[in-house]
Amino acid sequence: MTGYVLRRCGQAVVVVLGVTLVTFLMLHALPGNLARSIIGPRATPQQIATFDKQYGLSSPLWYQYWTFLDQLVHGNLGFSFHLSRPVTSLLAAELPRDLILGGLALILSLAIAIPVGVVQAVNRNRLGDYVGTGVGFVLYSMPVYALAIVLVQLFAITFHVFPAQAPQSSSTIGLLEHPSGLVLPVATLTLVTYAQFSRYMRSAAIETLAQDYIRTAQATGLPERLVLWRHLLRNSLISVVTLIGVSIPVIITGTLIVEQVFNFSGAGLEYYNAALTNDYPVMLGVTVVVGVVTVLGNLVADIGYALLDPRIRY
Amino acid sequence: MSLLEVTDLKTRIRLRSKTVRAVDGISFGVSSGETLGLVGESGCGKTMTGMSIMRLLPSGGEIAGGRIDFDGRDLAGADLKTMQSVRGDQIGMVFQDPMTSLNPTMTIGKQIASPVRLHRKVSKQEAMDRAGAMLTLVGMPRPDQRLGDYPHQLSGGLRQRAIIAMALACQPKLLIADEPTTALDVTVQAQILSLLDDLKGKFGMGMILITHDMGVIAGHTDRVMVMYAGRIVETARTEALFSHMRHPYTEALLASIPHLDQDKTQRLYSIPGLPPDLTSELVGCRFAPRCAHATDICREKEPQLVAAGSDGHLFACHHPIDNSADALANAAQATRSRSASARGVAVAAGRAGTAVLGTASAVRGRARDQRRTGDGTATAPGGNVAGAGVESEAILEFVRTTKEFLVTTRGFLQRRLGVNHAVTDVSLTVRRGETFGLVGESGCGKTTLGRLAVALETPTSGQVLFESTDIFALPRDRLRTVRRGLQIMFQDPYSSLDPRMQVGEIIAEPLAVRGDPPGQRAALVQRLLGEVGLGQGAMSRYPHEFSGGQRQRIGLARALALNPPLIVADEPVSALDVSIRSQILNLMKELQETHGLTYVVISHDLSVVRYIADHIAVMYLGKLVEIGPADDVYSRPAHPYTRALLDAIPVPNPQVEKSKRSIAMQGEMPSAMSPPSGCRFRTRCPRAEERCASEVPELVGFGGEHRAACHFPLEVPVTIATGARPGARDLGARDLGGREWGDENGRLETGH
Repeated sequence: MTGYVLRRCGQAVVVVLGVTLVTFLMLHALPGNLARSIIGPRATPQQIATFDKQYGLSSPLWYQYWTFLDQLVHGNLGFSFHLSRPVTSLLAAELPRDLILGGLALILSLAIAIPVGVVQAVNRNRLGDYVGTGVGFVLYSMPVYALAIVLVQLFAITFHVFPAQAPQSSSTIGLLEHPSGLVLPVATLTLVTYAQFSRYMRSAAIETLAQDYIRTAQATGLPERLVLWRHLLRNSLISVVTLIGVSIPVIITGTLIVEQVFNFSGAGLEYYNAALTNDYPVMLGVTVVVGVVTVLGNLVADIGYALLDPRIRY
Repeated sequence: MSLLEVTDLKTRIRLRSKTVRAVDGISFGVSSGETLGLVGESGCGKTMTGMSIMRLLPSGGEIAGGRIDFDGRDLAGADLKTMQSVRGDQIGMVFQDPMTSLNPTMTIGKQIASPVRLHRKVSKQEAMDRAGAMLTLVGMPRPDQRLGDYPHQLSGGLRQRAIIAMALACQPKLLIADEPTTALDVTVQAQILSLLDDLKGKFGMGMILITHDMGVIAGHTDRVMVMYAGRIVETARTEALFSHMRHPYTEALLASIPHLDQDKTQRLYSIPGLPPDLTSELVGCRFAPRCAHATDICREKEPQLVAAGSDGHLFACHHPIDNSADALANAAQATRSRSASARGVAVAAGRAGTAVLGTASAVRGRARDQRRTGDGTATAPGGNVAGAGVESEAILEFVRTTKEFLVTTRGFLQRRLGVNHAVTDVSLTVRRGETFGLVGESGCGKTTLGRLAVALETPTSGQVLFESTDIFALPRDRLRTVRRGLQIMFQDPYSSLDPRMQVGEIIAEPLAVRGDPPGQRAALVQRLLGEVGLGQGAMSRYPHEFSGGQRQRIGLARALALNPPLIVADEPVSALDVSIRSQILNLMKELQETHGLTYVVISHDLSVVRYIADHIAVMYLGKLVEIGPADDVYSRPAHPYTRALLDAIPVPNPQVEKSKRSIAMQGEMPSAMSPPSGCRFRTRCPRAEERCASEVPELVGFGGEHRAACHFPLEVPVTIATGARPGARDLGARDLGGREWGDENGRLETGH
């Protein structure tokens, strides 16, 4: 197992390197001149040349990439010209808030989807299953912003149960001091993610229920509840765990939109602003970090997969 | 009062729009220490009977009537809680497929301990100790280590032992074993069945053994219940059933199995048609539409079970069989054979030999004497008569062929774990017009060899010659052309046909690939469908509309489409019911004669291969251990492995079967990743000595073409150089053919 984890970590490093290279090249291929956007539309060619020289933008691309990597391993993601602060410190302030938003949504959606999926599978093609399937499809087909607006209209405007925007404290702790403001953003993201997981969990559980070993367990007199708990759950989770790894980028995209709608200050909002202002060090920094998180998420999912299924030995 | 008393049990399964009467009013009992065999074709209700007793019916299933009295209570009306206390504690159950019947994510120790914890209220440790003791009892090697193993670490045979351990962990009073050995190799089957017998004696429990195999019934049951279409058609003590069977269905079931001493020149008896649709109202005797003896009364009035003599022998038939000899002669008649009366009698006697106790070997001797007439040497009967003149021409040759598969890890690193030695240094020759049988346990490399023959695999070393050209030395486009002459027929008729293509398209596909114009294709497809016994209507239908046997016919038609000289048939009948099996075997033989086909038949079923093959090769762990004319190999096996395989086949004769007290072969085949040194069979061989570990045995002759690779063979080797068949014999065969087989050719052209 240790050997497997080490090998997978090695693979992860290679993938992250690939992510940085592709992001770097793509951002450089984008139209727009950084110097002009920083100094202003009336910048002279001399000013632009000086700017480029100062920030190493006149050196060859491979050298720029190398410098970027060198800085990256030293924990430096560059400097935001617009915000006049290092990208690292910007992300250090914003990322934990995203982790709270995305992490809570992931955990909650799994906590709801797994039992609901099993219950639907056991009662398949009955009323409860049809209702569950219907709700799942509605949520699944709904864009994140539409769902967010529906929730705001219902719970913030009509009934005044929860605030319509996220807590505006600049610190992460401040965010947690006003949990009611977190309810709607987290709920939006949870419901969207839930829809995907519950569909998957239901079909995985139906497939597992048809397996011979479920019948074997029933033939030993095991009560139904224990059959589900001991024999069905773990075997159905095997396929869902893989989905968790794949769904991490989806959740991150979701946070980006949720942050917009609820004015939730996080890396997504920063990314959005950076894209508008051509602040490419921020864009690069965020993309690399998101890439790393995705790779790590998949690594964790793969390890979970190997833990759940004894047949998997790499 | 017996342990289990089932009275007028009716089980229904409600589907969307109709109801299946799966079990329709059956009554029987099982006493402690007794084994009741349940036999019949698939869909006859035997599994549903077992599931009804356990109350584990599929969704929509319910018991619609009757009583299931078990140990003082009626299970038919018991609530779920009562059933859960009975299941696993009072009644244990063993299922068919050991590969899927254990939870893959739980150690087998935990799975066996689970019912003990549940029903005995003991500590975790005590339950685990009990699991260890059970594994010892079921003959699991190194039981304490196995407790922590996951199912995928065990072979099929060992998994079935673990399942038996789980079913018996609480010492149930009744064990229901539903086809416990159908998915296993014949040698492992013998081990598992004798284990069940032993444990039944040890625990003094009653047992219901559900099987489709009359051989298993003969050897391992005290009483038999023959089921057809949800009803009991005959029940008797096992000996009485085999010696005085009264119901035509029982007889037909028995006659459909090719026996080891089957007359190969004779078509196998097959039950025409299919079992009735149990969703409709059935009038009269349910077997009547398929019965050779049926008259008007059979179609109007359903026969009731009546006693035949004493001892609980019951049957339900308006025209019961009077005594076995006559009956079997009638069965022979039912094959619609128009053969001369003399031969009909001989065949009837041949069949009777398997049913009438004690005469089997005598008949076998007689049959062989008959075949040896004419030229004094053994001729290859049943072979292709038309091809007799060119018999010695080789069509397919393996020359020191070896195939190794690299076993690597998943993912892109692909670490090498080892090499699977699937086929090692195999040389053999298949002659034009013959049927060549490849036999051995699963994992012996027979399928790989078959795939090499049709160029689906490339050999690691050595050659495969088709019509004297090395097919793997050919350039790509030539290989494509040559491949048209090499066709394959697959085992599973359900997965080998594209479900979204019409049957006409499936059969026409090879023709389209060859570039035939569409107009020609349609005509050829129609002819092919006719040849395999399917009507024109089949063309525009989809595979799911056909039964397993019909799909296998479609597979055969597709293989025939390009008019290939060679067809490799990989387990062509093992997925089919016995009655359908014989239909397909008969069809294959017919087509061989009309098309001059050469078959390579791969099968784990030695009786099937014996019936259809002229030459056979026995493989063990990638090596050829014995090869020769089928008659020689079966009558005088030289290799201990061949002997063990033959001994392990259950014979449908209670006396023969019950006298087999010792098991032919212990253990299971080692991994092909690390085959034993020297002779690969030595780890399981009773005759193995030191030499076997150090020296790889070479094939040596045992007279004629019969060769085996063993240091200590069961027969005395013949040192004279062997090779081609003697020309005199060919002449003899041809002379014989002209006179004696002529009428058969005529029959085969018009028959079916």
